[in-house]
Amino acid sequence: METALQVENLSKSYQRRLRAPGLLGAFKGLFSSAKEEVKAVKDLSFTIRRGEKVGLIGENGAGKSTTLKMLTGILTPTSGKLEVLGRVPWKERQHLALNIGVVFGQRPQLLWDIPVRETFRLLKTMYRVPDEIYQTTYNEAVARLGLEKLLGTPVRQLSLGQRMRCDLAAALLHAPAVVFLDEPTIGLDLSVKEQVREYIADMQERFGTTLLITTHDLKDITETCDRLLLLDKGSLLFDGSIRDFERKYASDRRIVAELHKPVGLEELAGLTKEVTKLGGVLKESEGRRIVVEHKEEGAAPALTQLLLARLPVVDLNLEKTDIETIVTRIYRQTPEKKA
Amino acid sequence: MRATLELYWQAFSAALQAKFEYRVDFFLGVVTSCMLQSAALAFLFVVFHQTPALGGWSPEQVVLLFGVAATTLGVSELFFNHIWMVPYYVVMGELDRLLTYPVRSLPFLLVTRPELHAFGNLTMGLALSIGALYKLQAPWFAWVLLPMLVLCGGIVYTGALVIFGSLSFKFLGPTAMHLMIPHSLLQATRYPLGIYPGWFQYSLMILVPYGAFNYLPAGFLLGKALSPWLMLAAPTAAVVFLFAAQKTWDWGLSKYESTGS
Amino acid sequence: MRDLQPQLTPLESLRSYTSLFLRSAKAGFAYQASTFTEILTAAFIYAVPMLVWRQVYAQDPTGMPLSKEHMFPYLLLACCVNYSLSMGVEFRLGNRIRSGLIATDLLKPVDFQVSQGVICISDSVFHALLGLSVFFCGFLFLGPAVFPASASSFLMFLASFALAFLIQYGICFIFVQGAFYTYSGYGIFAARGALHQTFSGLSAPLAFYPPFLKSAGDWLPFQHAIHTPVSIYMGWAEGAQALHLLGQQAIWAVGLYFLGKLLLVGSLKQLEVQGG
Repeated sequence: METALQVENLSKSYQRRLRAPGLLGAFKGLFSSAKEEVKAVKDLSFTIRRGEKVGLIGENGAGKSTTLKMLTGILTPTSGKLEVLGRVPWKERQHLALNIGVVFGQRPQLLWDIPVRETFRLLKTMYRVPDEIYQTTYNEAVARLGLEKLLGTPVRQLSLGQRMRCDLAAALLHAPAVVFLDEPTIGLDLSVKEQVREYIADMQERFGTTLLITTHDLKDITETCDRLLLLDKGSLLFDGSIRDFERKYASDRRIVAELHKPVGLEELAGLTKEVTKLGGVLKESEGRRIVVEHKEEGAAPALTQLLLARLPVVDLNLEKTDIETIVTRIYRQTPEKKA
Repeated sequence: MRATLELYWQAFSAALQAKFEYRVDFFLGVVTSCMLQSAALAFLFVVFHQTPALGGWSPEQVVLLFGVAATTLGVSELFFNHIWMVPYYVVMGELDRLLTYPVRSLPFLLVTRPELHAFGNLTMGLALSIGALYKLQAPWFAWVLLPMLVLCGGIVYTGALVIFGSLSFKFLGPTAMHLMIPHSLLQATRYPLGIYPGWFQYSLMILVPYGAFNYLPAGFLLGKALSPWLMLAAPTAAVVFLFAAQKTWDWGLSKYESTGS
Repeated sequence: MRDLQPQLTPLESLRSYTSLFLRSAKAGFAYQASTFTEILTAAFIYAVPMLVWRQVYAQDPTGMPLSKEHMFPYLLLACCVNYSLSMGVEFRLGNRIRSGLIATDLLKPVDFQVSQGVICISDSVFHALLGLSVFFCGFLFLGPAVFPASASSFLMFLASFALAFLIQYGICFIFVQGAFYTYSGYGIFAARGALHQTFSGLSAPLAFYPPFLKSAGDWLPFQHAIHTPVSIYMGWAEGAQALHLLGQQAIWAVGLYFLGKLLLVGSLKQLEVQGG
């Protein structure tokens, strides 16, 4: 089957009880029940094919985790259609669970008193993993994620980084067709983050797993995924490849030149004209520093040559707006301005 | 089916083994549960210091009721105690992990957190029941009936806990306070139901039928002119509650909101 | 650690204790359902011994140490007092100890033992208000028998109740420290509950107790939480006798306070050992 996930007009709303402030309000709260509706996810639609690696980003409250939970069958949607591997998650949760893996970034394990080794054994029984597959995935996980020393420790006693690695191994033990990762690298040391990302990428390649990662850390996306879904306040703002994303939003590129000595006003005027001709904008020229911004990719070499020819350049830097800045900028915009 | 039971057994024994690692807690658990049972027995002592019988039941007969209730509690605490964590899990959104497993959520959840208190309750409960039956020179089939009653009792009591626990999905609260209702009702059946007002008696025999595995069978066994058909009450109640518990749980899950977004 | 705590003026202390009181009172109302079920459960637990005694008196009211007219008011008052002394200290403190959050509590510039006690006062006030409604229900069933024996009895009862609170808090504070030493602190606190149930006189006045049980109880503070204040209320102990009882309560209250303080030092050492 080509399609891994199919989502159509998916929505989820909650009822929240309103609470009045203060002691009297709290007492009144014992007897009253004013409610308000919170729309966590609004009319989402997207399709993911087998083998795709998709990143789902959004601020807190954007609806990422809610979406993930509906996809895995934990939550029932308020409206809309949803299919994962041909099954409706909230209706066929148990069956679907056999073919998916889920990693929760910060959530504790259910059986946190038992040693790691026992957890793996239990999961092998639970997912009915055939011995050959288990041998492969188990050995890979232990070797690649450095779990050898942790096997005898109760899950409860592991540090966050160790628990994450075990969680990841656990989710991939049965070589599922689709893996959902909810904030997999949150709170981890940089080195562990790298380890996790590499492991995910490798396993994905080996088994052709479909990946859906929700995260705040954009490096998770840039290093592991090829497609990006951007959620804001429950709605889908962007759905496409990372390149398309950059092209659409990251229009600004900068050339920053440090000079040996400041440039004269006449010189500056002439330079500005030529820069504009090449499709750039002279943004700053303060003392010994010149900043040229340009929108087009291809303008960089010409502009650089121009600056090097005309000015006593000591140091030159080419800067591209990174994804993090782009995303931040998107969130700061008012709703009407968003594309 | 067999694979599923194997899974439950594996999960249960792994969890139990882990609990045994905490030796201090184990001994403490056994000791304190025995102390709690003894506290109730002390009250019995005080009562029977003032009167020879309670509602037509002699001290040994009441001790039998105590024993069956205690053993039932022990069975539930040993195998199905995880239910007590449900209100906390619901508020904190920690059922997510459970729902990603390819298992029936309710039974798998129940067996994965044995309570060490169980050993104290089981020990005292069995000691009291066996001691009472022996002293009362009960007929032979009483001994066969006892395990059946305790097992059915465990299911009915756990079922009641699940039904009340499922309310957590709709009415959030961080403590398992509402689970104290079925618990307290179980403790109430340690005394002959005849002493309670009529409506309460019927509640304990029909609505929350603890009487089905305790008071009624004991009444028959001790020759209190009750029909032998009442023996069927316990297994019937167990089946009904098994069904009701699962249904209530399913309803609860459909209302599960989890946390975060 | 404690040497570095800044000292607060008495007024500042009072203000912070008051805000603590209000905050915890507010938290108590946060969950509708659990308040109602708590009341319901308490009703069950208190009703059972009463129904047992009702049965006993129905069978043969003669030869009992107390007449029916005195027994049931006693039981009712005992339940009201017991309920008013309910403290969520195990739940709160136990969780904080187990999670390690206790460390931040200890760094605050207020005395730990006292501030926890203040939170318990708000627990008590909350439960006492509910207990009053039970009292009124009792009045409907039992009539004027539920009123105090005399004005002076009532005043001494109030003093006795305050001391009973201190004793109950003192006991709870000691037992809750079990959470420092065990993984699941529930065990030790349940033991406290068992002892309280047995010796406090909640289910029956001490006059009903078999001799050995009574003598054992006399060595313990539990009876001074329930039996003593209610006896004073009912006028069973008057004048000098009552004062004598109040004195005993006071001694227990002070002793338990210092014992708790002492044990806390040891427990904190345990915490530093486990730390990390």
